[in-house]
Amino acid sequence: MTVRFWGVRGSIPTPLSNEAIEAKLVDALRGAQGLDLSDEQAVRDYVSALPLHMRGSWGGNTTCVEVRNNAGDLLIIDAGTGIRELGQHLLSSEFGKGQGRGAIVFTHTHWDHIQGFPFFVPLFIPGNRFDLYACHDHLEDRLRYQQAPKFFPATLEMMAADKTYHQMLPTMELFDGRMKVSAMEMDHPGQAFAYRVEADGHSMVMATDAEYRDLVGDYWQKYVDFFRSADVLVFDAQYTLREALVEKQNWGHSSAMIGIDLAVDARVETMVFVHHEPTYPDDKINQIFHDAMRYLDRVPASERPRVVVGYEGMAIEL
Amino acid sequence: MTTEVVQQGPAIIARVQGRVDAYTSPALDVALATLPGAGQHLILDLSGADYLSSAGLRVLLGLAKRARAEGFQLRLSGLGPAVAEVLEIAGFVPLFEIRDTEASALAELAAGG
Ligand SMILES: [Zn+2]
Ligand SMILES: [Zn+2]
Repeated sequence: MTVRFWGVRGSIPTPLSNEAIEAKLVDALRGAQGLDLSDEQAVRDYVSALPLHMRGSWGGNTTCVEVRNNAGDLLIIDAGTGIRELGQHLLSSEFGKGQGRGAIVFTHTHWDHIQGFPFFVPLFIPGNRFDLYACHDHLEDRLRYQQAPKFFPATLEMMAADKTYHQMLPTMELFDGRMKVSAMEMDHPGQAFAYRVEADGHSMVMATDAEYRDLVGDYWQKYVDFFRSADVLVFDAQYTLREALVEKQNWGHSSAMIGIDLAVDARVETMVFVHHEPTYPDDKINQIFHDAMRYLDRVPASERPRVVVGYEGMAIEL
Repeated sequence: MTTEVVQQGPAIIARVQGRVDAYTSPALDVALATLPGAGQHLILDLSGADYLSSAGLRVLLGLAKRARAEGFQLRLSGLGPAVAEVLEIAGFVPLFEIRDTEASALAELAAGG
């Protein structure tokens, strides 16, 4: 199984500002003082050794994750703006020739999880076939509404690929049984659903957008059970713990510290933080991650999950 | 996790021992639910607490909210480095009155501080 991240930003696309780029350049040049960077290769080596948040960005596109099983079947989770780039990438495969087949499953239909849909080029190519799944009702109507002529020039009907809409069941088999997908309702305004995808003996859980209103008892345990022993847990860590529990209570998102507690209790292998807060610059997201690592440090080494910050282009091979 | 409750002067002292996490924090919540009595203040001594998870932090937060609503004074005392670090990481330090020791918290409350 391969899990690839095309959009990891929460709530709204977040392009880097000129000020942010300038600040990164200043930091990089200050860090280069005293180094011999007289030939180009030395410059390239120096830049590529910088941490991602200094040489680039975690990414500004909203939620989109690609999951492939070993047979190469394509499951896309959410159609945030990251799906546009995925669509470009797919054009060099059978999807560019109208011979592609894939599935898109939606956690929910908040803007940041559907707004890339009208820009997903493989959907405009006749012959491609997509199965579209959601736990929410009337998925087709919701997508059509987003592309009503008042809001967008290309209607859903202009997307010439073959589209079949499905009501997601608690557990479903996709691709003739080569992938199993289970759903769980999460606490989020208007509801969101987490998905556990299993294939080839591996499992990934996509758990965004979600707030954890209680951190104990049966409430806690149902999430621990759903995340149990996942190879990858993709987790909504938009807020700091204080924001999640105090300032932004009931806003529908969670924090890295709660994620770590869940991942430890569920014995998750790798945890990926996503749905980054749009007002947080890259270095603040890095700081939150380092704080989370300090929190994780207190857990015995044998019980610690691997924890990473999700970024655009990141791929995890299982 | 255990909670020992003693009264000393104007304060009820609750001494927490052990690990406060998703599985033990409900017991702490129950132990603290009826504390302090009318006209009393509360010192939560954490010198015996060696591990605090987000669930434990949530209990502390609930206690702070209740202190404001019910008008009693709350002091945390005796935070070991591990517990102090978790409060700091969570950004919770400004939400609490934290004293080094149970004795210093008690002296302050006795002095009407
Ligand atoms: Zn979202
Ligand atoms: Zn949402």
